[in-house]
Amino acid sequence: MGSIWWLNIKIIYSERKVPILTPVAASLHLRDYPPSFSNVCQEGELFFKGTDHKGQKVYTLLHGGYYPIIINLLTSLEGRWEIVIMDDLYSFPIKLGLFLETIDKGWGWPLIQGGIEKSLPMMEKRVREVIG
Amino acid sequence: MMQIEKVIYHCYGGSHSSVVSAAIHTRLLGRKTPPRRELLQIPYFDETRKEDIGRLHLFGTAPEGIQVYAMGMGGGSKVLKKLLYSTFRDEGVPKESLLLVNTLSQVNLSTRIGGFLSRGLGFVTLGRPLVLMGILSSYPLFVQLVEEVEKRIKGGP
Repeated sequence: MGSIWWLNIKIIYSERKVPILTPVAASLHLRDYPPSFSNVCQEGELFFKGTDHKGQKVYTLLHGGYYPIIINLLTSLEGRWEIVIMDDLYSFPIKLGLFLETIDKGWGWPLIQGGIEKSLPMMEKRVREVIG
Repeated sequence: MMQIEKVIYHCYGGSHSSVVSAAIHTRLLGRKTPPRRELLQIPYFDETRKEDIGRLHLFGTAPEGIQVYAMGMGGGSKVLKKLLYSTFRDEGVPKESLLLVNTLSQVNLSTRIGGFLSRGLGFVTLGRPLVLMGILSSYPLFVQLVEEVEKRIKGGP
């Protein structure tokens, strides 16, 4: 029996430094409702979120700004990886919230959470494109 | 104690010190300082480009049966190390089975300047002779590093 081509694909939702959109995108991908808004993750650490209905493994990753070399590393390893960068979906409240977080912890989170809601339709669209 | 299965020699660009160390470990190069032409025959030696940073190159299997790799990590070594550990862990290779060896400590000034000229700026005719001079003059240090790694694989300190 021939192997099904998509079975070996590993999907990584990735963003820069703070897990904001990637946990939600992974939850949407895994049809895990309500979407998870929290995630404990360090830069560079691959975080396994689950296996989707096609048998593809879904992960989150904080690339820390090094995504070109991260893509090089993953593509030189065995298996097929699809890396979905989420940074471009940051809405203004998320950007402002992240800036406020650098001034004082806790100030920016209400804004970030509001921003996640605002980015939700775009995230759903991107996840749908990834699922195919 | 967990058996080491894979050794990854890493430097900045993955072009000089990491590939020389991996070549010594896999016996592509001997323990005595080789002639220039032998160095130039090693895969990837003074060949990789900035766009190749992050690629993991399998050099071969060492006599102890472990797989030996070389790679350049650029400025992202902290992130890439975590990613290497977590991707291999995902494939069933625990952290203790993976040995990451930084070869930059063995790099002298001549190799640094030559490497920057050859790989960073593309002045190969100017940079390569400096790289060769630098690598050959510190060759015993690379041999020493590989021997320390081999000792560690055998269960030494």
